[in-house]
Amino acid sequence: MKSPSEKFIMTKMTRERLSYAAATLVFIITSFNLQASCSNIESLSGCSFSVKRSPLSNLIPITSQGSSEQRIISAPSPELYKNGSIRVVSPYVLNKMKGYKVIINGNGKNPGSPKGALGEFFIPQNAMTNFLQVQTATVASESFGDIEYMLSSRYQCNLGSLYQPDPLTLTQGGLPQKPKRAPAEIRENIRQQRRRINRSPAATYEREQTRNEATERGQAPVASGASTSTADGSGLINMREDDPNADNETEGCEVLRNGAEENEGILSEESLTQCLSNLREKIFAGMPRDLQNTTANRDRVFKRMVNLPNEEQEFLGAIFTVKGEANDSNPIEGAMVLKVLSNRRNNANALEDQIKACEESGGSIIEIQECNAKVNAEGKYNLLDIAIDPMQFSMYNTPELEGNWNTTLGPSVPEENFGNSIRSFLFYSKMEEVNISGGGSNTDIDQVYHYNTTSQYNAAGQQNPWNSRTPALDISVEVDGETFRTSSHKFYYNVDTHGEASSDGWRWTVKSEFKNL
Amino acid sequence: MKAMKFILLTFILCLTSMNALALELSDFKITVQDNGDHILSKKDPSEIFIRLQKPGANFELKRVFEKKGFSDLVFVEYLSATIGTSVIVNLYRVAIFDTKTNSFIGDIPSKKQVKDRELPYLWKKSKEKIVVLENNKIIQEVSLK
Repeated sequence: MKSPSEKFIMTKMTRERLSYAAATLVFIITSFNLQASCSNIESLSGCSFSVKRSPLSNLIPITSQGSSEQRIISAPSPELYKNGSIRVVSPYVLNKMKGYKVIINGNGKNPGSPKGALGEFFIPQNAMTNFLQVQTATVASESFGDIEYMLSSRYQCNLGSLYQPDPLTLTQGGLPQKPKRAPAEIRENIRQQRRRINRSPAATYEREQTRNEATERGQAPVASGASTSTADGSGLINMREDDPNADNETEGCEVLRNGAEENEGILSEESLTQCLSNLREKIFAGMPRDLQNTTANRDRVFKRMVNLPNEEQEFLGAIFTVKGEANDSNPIEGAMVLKVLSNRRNNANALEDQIKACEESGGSIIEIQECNAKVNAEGKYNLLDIAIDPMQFSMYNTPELEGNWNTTLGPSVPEENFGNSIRSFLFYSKMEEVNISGGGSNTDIDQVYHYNTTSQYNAAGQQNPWNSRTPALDISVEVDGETFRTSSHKFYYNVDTHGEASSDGWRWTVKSEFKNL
Repeated sequence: MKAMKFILLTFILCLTSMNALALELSDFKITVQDNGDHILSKKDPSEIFIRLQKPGANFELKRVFEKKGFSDLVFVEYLSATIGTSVIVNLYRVAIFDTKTNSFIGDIPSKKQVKDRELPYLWKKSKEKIVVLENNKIIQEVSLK
């Protein structure tokens, strides 16, 4: 029989043990989750970490072409960034080594340490993991009871990036949680951004028509007010002012409405996957998993797609087309399909001459990209219009023409099957100087409008329909020090003529507006 | 008197039909102008022509035919384009030649070809026009006046 005081002592001891056990559990879970987070190369984009005493190993400077900014060209001494910070910009591959592009900041207080960015560096994934493990141990030893607070204050991820599983989320246990809806203030910022888009008429432009036609002066061909390039700033995704479908915004797709700067560190495979998942839920709502390609189903799904805001239509047009046409682990295959899609959109919008002017302006690669993005944002047709234009991209075909959009995109297809498409989408903006072989010296990547699959090209009895006009092109590009080359698709230049509609409105790349459903 | 009219009409119809039937693929040709336009012309006389749909990939004359219910008209079919990615679709169009007026009156889609299957467009003719339908929607009209 135990006395009341003994009972009290035992209860107190039990409480202390329980507290200790709970705290230990929190620490284990936290460490486990942080390591889990570190094993996912995409998940740290946009996060900032303060650097105490832990040196960063294997830093390799990344220099920007065309920048006159003075940068450190060797790995910085740890003294320079002691008590400073490191911000993860994005996943990065250098010489086939996976890691992160980071910006390292000094705090300006240590002798010899400048305040602000020391430059951009590449840090290998394992070095980053080691750094974070040291940081976790530091946190744990400093304040066991306040571990959540310490983590939240020490690992500050971009608050706009609620699609990143930030460490604060990780401390709540379990695997990284599905991204949540952005808080009210961020949603309000996005609404503001839609309002911020220039409401003035599109700039007057002057362009020389080809084929001896007279010089034309007029307003840029904008369908409904101005639009702006968003997402990665490459001009692929555009938001349209006065979009009649603006109110039909999809939760989780704010990343498509952000500008490129706001998206720095946010635009990632995870954020795009979440957006895509929500969009698919929306357009396939109430439909069976074994969705059939009937005319009625096709019309129903396509109508839902064309009722989305412009930027979401562009995104679906891009991702779905790549999924159906080039679901390839080699990202250049999908990125080149996107290039064809984009070229056709430019063709349909008769913007090629302006894009050509951008390229011949003599500006830097970045300036040319910005110019292209501005021009691209002015078009009437979006990527989805081009994608679902009848018969052009086989996957969207009607049943009689053997379309397979239902089995390629439908409700039964798991989310992870879109990984290659999203990686191709992210790869697209990294393609700068594209090398083309197999065509003549005049081959222009901006006028590559056709491709077919190599397997189709090689099929018995199937003649390459365009080879009589132009040879198939092989395309390669160097991204992050690695060379990527097309192999499963053949691309063609000069099959199509550009920029003009015939008397009955037929434009080769856009027969009709599908929105007239 | 009625019998005479009938014989005369029959004679005229026969002449017209013979005229139409006389047209063959070799009576037409496609030429490319300096500006890239493709022209389908009747060889004799060569000033009878129609400008084909502009951005075509691979124009190729295929056949000349008549169609029941479309009297006085001869259809000159040509391959107008090949499109698609994994499923290649050949698109065919016809230039419509009116034997009464000895002129081309329009250019309409005739069929799609996927592998060995041919999928014709539906044409409907009234006194005033020919309409082309796809999925029960009118996609093109040609006036007969």
